Amino acid sequence: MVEPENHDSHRLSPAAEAFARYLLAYDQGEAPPFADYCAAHPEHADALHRLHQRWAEANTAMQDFENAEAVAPVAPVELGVEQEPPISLRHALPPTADMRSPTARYGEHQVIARGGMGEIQRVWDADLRRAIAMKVLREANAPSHTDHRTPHSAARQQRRFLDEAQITAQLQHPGIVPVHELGLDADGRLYFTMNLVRGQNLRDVLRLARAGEDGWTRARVLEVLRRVCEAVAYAHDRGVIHRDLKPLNIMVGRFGETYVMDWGLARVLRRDEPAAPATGAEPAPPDPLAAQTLDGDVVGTPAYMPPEQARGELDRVGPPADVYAIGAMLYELLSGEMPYVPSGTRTSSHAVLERLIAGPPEPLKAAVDVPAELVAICERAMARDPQARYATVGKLGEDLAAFLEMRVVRAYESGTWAELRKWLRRNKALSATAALAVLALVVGLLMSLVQKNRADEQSVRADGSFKLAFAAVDRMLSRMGSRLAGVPRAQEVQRDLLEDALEFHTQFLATRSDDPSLRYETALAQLRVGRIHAKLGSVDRALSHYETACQQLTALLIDQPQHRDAEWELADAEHSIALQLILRGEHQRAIEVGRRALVRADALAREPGANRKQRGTQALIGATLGGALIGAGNHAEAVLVVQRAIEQRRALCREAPEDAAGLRELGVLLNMMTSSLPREHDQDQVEAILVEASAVLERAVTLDATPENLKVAAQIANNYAVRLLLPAQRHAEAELQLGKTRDFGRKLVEDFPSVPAYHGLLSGALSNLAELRRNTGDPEAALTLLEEAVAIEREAVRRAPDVQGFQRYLINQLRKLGELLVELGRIDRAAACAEELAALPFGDGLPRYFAAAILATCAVADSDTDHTARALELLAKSIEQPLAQRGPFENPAFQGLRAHPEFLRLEAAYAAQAAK
Amino acid sequence: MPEADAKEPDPAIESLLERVAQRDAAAIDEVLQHYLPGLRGFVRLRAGRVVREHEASTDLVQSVCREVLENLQRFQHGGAVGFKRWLYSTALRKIADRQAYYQALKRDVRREVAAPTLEGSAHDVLQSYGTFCTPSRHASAREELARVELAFDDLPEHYRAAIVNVRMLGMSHRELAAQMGKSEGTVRTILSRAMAQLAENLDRHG
Repeated sequence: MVEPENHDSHRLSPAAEAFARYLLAYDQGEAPPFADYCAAHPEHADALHRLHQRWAEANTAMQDFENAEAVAPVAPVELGVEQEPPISLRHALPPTADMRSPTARYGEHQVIARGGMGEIQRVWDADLRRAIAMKVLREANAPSHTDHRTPHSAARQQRRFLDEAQITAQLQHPGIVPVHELGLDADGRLYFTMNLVRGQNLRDVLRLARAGEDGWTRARVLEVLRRVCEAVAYAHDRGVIHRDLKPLNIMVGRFGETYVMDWGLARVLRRDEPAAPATGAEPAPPDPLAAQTLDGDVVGTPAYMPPEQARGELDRVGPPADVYAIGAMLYELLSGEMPYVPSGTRTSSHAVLERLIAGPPEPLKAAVDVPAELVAICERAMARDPQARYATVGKLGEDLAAFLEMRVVRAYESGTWAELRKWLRRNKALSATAALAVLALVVGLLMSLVQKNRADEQSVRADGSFKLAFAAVDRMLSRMGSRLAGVPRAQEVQRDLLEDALEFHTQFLATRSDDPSLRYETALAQLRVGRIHAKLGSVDRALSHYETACQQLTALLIDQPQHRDAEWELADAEHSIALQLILRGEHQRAIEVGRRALVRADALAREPGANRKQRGTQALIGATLGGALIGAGNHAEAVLVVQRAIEQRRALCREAPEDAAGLRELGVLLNMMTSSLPREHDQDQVEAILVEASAVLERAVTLDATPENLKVAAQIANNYAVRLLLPAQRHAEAELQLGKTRDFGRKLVEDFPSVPAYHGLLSGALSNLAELRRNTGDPEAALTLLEEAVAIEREAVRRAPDVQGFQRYLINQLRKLGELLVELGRIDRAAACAEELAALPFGDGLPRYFAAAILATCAVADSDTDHTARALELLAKSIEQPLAQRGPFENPAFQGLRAHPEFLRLEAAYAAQAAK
Repeated sequence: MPEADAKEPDPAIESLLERVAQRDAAAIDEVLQHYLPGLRGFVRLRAGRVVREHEASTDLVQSVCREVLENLQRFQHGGAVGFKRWLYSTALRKIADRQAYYQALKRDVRREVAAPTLEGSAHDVLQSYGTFCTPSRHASAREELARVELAFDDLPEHYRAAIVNVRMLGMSHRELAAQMGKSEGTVRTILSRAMAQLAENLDRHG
């Protein structure tokens, strides 16, 4: 053995030095047997053994690393020889002679699952100090109470068990649990060991996703299914079909690791066997396996089995069978129930099998929360004809990935139109110009799609495509509408788009509303039209369509009381009505409708199928009812309703802490709470709520600075100032908050000039800042601010003439402006302001009353009799309608008129009217 | 330890590389796909702890692929070994840039790093190493991965370079000797000592 020439500055430990010498000799082919080498170095013998073991590990890792370049990662059968052997089975029992007794190595046996063929134990591997799983075949001659096995079937099970171990061991993929060892235990039972997977099975995950618990969402489950596709595609590539894919056979780890388990029914295709057998082949006689799959709980339920497998046409069971099974799991994810097994029912395997052979399962509905793309993927994967399914599991996985990444789903649509649409959706941060150009094109294409469907009505309706097209266009319009809401200066296009959408839905209603199979779609179209009118600022029209939608949904629910989607839509429609009524100032009616919606949503949310979005709707309805109660002055009940909605929304925010829209809603509710609390409520508590609301919105804006989030942040800052800081004369802080509101408001108005709410926000901030200036002795600055506030509020009213809130604010601001102008001695301008008030076409008698008050003070200031006469004239007009103002004639503004006979006459007439 | 370049060239890869030299876009994709798993593992291992804890190895791999694609016109067909060296030396240069960047940060990022844990990113790493581990090693892959990386990180630079050059880039001892300016015998010694030290490091981390 050569001594190394050592030019290496690095110092090794004596044992490592000795081991390095051994390695050098080994490298040059001069090494003695390792045991001899150790014996020659007794002082390092133990260390040398350990280092040798570690070196072997490192060396294997390096070797594998090189082999990693092989496209299909298969462990070489001989070290140093790169090859990719086909999957092969050898039905011989493993030799036992050179095996230690397994009991020596594996301890702490603990059964974690039992099946028809045997059991799975968790065992402790004392050699490698780790817990692993051991699958043990039931003893050949020890039948269990469920055992109906003949010697023949026992042999078949043994063979199948060996197959499973060997197939699984030869499939090396991150999505397939590795097998370590196959052997016979001390009792002569076959076993194999594999990794112990810590996690939960997909059945539990599906349940959690349905309940929206533990962070499980549909998207996460789709990702799991995509990974299942990867693992199964790999197996197919190696010629192995699983044939028993079902949620219980998919394990999901804490970090989303996904493993396809239980390859006990897997089949290895012959090399010459086509991966996808041709259709029309003569059905083979039922294979005994078909019976076996129904035996005990080996398979459990055939709900995930393709028709050809259920019929026992085993020669037709190829890779498309696994495509079908993954499709069936997708079906369960989307519909909340297994195919052929309605939720809440107990159905025997036999009955499921009969239904499966008889025809397809209950079709999936492309509802608002079930995208049509997913329905299309599912339908294609579960096609009854194997050839109509995805050609490979990989293609199915690609479509799932495409959906998750918002690319085009091949099963659903293709072509430029679809690509464009998806591109638009993916590119959130589009420049306004690009967005507009693309949108114009997309809208045109979209309408041509509608036209095409109309022309081809019979055929498209026959295969259900019409509903899909409807759902797609519907969703497309609403999504693009909401996307555009965040694109600066795109409001005109948004309006165009809304009008196009309106036309689409109106045409739909005109041509199809009498089709009984489209009752739900018809009601949805009414709702959409209502929403579009609401967005376009037409409160009355919106209300009319919402009411029609409510009637239609109510009628539908009488016939189909289990139609949960329809019932949620009904709750949402009632909620929308309540919102419009609040805008119109009809708070009592809003309360009635809102209560009805809340009762409905509460009942629905208690059902196990309610998802996060629906529970969000429930909280939102609570918020709207709270708003109506505040508007009606019923603060006590408002506190209770809003408090409850806050708790619901808080729970949802805990589940999805990154959901900016959810945080915004929480902020709105907290803000609303401060408006519900009486003025005299503990100010510290009010401040704590406002501080929390500000923090929540700050987080929402950080996550996603949408205009809506900015608006609510500004509203909270405004409320903080008005509700707390201004009354407490904390002027500097009030200035800060109002300045924030003004800046946010100004930015929003610049970017979205056609959104009335943003004008209202900016105007309110300016008006409140004016109030602050006036209180701090700077009336000139207050005047400038107030004039700007009035100009902006006028714009809000012009853009949304039906919204009572803007009207009221404009009246108040003009009144304040008039009063300030009189105070500053600008009588002519004050009189002009009063005339503007007097001419307002809304607000009943109130604007005339305020105008009269301003003119009365003008008359006192400049002794102008014309002002006196005009004030009296307007006062007379204002009291023709009921006035909300208490003691209108006691207003100090009328001090100068008190002696006037006309004033006395009006006062007497008003008192007489009030007495009646 | 077998000489890496003693392997028979894979005719399929050689023919792909010929097409790459002729700027065939489909072939480029295929070749990159072929080398991707190895490259992922290589980058992860060679990046070292500091870079690894600040950047996803997949980002680095992407960056390497992008650079390779951008500079493809410079590729002269030198067989699979040549391509692999080019790919891996591009990766090494990227890694060195990143290391220099993090070293230059005002605060020494090494100070802020707690004991490495793999909890958060273990899954991604496992994906990258999908074929790195044998089935039995895969059993406790998470721990194993940490052990191998830590053991490798703790080697002196010239040991790491020797292992990577010979075992991953496929250099012969002669080539490495020429590169290091040492005799072939010295290189063999260094490699043996590097592997012994790696074994000892593994033992310590075990």
